[in-house]
Amino acid sequence: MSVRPVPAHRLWLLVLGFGAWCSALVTVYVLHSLGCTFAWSAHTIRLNLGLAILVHLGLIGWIGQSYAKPPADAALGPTGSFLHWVIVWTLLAAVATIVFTLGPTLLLTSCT
Amino acid sequence: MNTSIEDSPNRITAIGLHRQLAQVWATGPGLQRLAAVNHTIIGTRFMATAFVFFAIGGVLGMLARVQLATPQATFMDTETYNQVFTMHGSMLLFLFAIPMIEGIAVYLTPKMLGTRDFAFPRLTAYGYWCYLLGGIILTVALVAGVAPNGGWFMYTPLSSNVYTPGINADVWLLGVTFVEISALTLAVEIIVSVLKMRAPGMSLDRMPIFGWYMLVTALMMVVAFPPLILGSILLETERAFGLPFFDPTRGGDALLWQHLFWIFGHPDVYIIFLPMAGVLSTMIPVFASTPLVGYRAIVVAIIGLAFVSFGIWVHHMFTVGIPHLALAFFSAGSAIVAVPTAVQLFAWLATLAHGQPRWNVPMLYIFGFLSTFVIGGLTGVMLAIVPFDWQAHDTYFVVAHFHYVVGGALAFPLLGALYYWLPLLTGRTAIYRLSIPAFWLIFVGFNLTFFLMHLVGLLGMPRRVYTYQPVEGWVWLNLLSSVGGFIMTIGFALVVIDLIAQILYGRRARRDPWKAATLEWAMPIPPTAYAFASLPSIDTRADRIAPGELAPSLARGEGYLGFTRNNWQETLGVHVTSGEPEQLIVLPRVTYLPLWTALSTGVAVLAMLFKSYILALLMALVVAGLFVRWGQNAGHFRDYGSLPVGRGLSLPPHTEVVSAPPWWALNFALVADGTLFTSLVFGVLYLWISAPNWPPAVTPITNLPLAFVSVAALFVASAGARASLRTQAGGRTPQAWIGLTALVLLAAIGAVAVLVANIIPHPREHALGATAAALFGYVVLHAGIGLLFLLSNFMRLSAGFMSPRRLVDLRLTRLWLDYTAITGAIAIGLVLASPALVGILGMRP
Repeated sequence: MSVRPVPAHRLWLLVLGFGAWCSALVTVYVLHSLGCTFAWSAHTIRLNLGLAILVHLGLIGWIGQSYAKPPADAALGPTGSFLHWVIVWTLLAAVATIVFTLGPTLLLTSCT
Repeated sequence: MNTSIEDSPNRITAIGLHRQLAQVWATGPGLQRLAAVNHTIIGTRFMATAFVFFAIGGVLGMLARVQLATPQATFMDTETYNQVFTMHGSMLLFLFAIPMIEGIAVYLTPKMLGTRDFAFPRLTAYGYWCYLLGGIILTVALVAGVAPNGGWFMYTPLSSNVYTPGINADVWLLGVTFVEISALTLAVEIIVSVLKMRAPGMSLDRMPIFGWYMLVTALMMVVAFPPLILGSILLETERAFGLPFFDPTRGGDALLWQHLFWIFGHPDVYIIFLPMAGVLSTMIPVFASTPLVGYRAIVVAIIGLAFVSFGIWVHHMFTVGIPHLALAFFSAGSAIVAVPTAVQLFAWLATLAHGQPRWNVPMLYIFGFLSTFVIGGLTGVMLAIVPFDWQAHDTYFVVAHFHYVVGGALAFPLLGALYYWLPLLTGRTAIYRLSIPAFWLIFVGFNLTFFLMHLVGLLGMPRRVYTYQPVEGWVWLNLLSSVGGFIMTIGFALVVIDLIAQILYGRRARRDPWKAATLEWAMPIPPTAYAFASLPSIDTRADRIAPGELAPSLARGEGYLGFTRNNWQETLGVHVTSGEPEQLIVLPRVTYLPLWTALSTGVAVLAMLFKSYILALLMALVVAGLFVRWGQNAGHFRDYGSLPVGRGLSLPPHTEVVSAPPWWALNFALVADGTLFTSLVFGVLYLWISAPNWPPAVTPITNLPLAFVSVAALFVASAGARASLRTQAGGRTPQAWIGLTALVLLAAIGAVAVLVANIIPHPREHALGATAAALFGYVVLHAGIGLLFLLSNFMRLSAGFMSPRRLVDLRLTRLWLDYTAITGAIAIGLVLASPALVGILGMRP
């Protein structure tokens, strides 16, 4: 089987996982700021933060399911296999980072 | 004699090929060296200049240690001390660390990737001259006694003109911005070159790990530097024109500066570390005589590190009073950032464990790195824990931490790299009698100087104080620390002597003295201007090649482009992922334009420094005109179609392809620009939600019809650019569309200028007005640059640089005007939304 070049746009997958982490961080920070400024209840703040975190985890899960879970396309050769491996592990690392950095914050007091 | 394009390239001898290439790629002697654009020359200049600033910054550090060696010393007064420590940090970080990284990148990256130069040689030269001039401005200010004196991070309100009325702060703001802009241009160039200009066959999985490190670092620079540039512009505007971005009495917020600074400042330390990690990942396998362990894991780690480093900036601000919840996630992030670093460390240790390490001078410095960086990393994790940070903040514990990480991450690997690659630079090997004592003096002196600072910090000694009382219990620790500093300085002096001795008296090096496996050793040493006589075809990972076998073949012209034609400086462009060759890139020759442009930029900066704003505006127009002039020397006057490039392959020139380097460069430049714009929008929203004295006393008013006309005009201009491109692609001339687009842009600029003149509240009265002025100013600037694009299009069209195949110019203009229209709509929309935002604030309990 002849090897096709990996399309350049596939490189976006290298950054989507941690891009989602950045987005989660910004979203959580913004929601927290808005919530504290406009005196939302602690329950409302935690609910919104939790939803934001879950949405981003879901996004990474969808990316993983769509692009990373299927095995590497053999037609893309060793470069495709390499990029596939790196994409999978950056997605996993991004999930771990979201859970570790943002998860425990939901247990804390809200605005003080 | 060059081969014409109609002739088939004839095989010539290696000597004959060398003579032809040397002539084509030559930079003339004497003053003509000022016109050099070659990466080997510019990279060497970057590194040499950076070492000079390292020496000056190091001396400043020693002056501080002399002052602190004894209590109540009178060696310096407080004002002098403030300038000394500010310039020590500013010089070492802005004038040594980043430029040195870039110098190494400029010198080494093309060689390691198997290409002949970087994508934009004139831009490389411009970046160097801007760096040199910015550094001179800062150094002259130091000598004149008006150096910046507010700390290397220039916190507001201390750096406002209320508390720093002199030009000290302006020197920092303008000088550092000048240098950072040059760093940003180089970062864009590195990205494009790594992605598009590798040796044929060098797919991303075959790229040497150094290429990945430089790619990720350059991408980080593109996102990290713009917030600092924005902050510097806003602070300088506040100081010069009274716009209160950071003045809390008028709706500004001093903490906004800290956010903008540290969003740059924290990634900056990883920008410094990652290239050195790339150097270590290159050297360690050589001295272990085994391939690098964990190549893929390292790629994942550096991508993770790059992102996480952008999400933990607030750990520099743990004591400013933000809520516990926010403290928690920045603390957690600051702890987890150690994981990707540890992955790399374990990969290096595994490589050493797998192989048979050879102990020589570069390995000594690798050992020095391992010990100091691990200590610095561990104290970093300590500081990531908020309660501990609250105790250690602003004490010498923090000073110790960052010297260990920067010394570990930069100084030791850099010296190791110097000894490793000096045979390549100079063609000679070291004598080594001085090298080993020099290392031990540096290592012992470094640890004596900085380890004791952990202790004195935990005993409560604050940072940035010019003296202390003898009863504090810090006397012996400071004295020994200062002694350590002198020991370290002696070590560095021995390194300098050793290097000079090597250059003057060292033995001639053989081609590959370390038995390495990367491409930079497959060329003559010292390197020629053209790097490779012919370009290699890569079929294995490019840190597993045999330079000794490859070099003679390349010298005989058996690779790609083993000939010259038309006096062109040629290299190849490749597919981003596969490395398949897809275009012939013709690079610009020597020119004085980068020097003139940098000098004009420098005059503009000096004019702003001395508040001659009319002169500054005129010089800015000169700079703009010179950049348009650059465009008159680039490209071809005709279509060539496919040209032979050797090994039976023919490729079109870069002017006739869609995926040309300038297209990629503008995209990444817009990433940087977009980051700056996003930072501005963040700043506006941050002030709205957090700053005191909001809402303003006056309800904001904006001329709605004029605002809509402005936005509409920007989108019409964008459409005009698309029409120009379609017209040219269809074989017709687009002058009319270019002219129409220019007129519409002028109308947009005029409309926004009227909006600026009628901002309510006045920009000096409240930050709401100031941010509106900043947003409108952003639109005007980008529309103005759009006019420059159109002017260049018109001139190049008239000169014959465009055709239905040669469309790069018009594609770039379309992209720029699209970006201007979208950001213009957001900026003007945000200003229009300000009454609603102010109204929402009224709903706060």
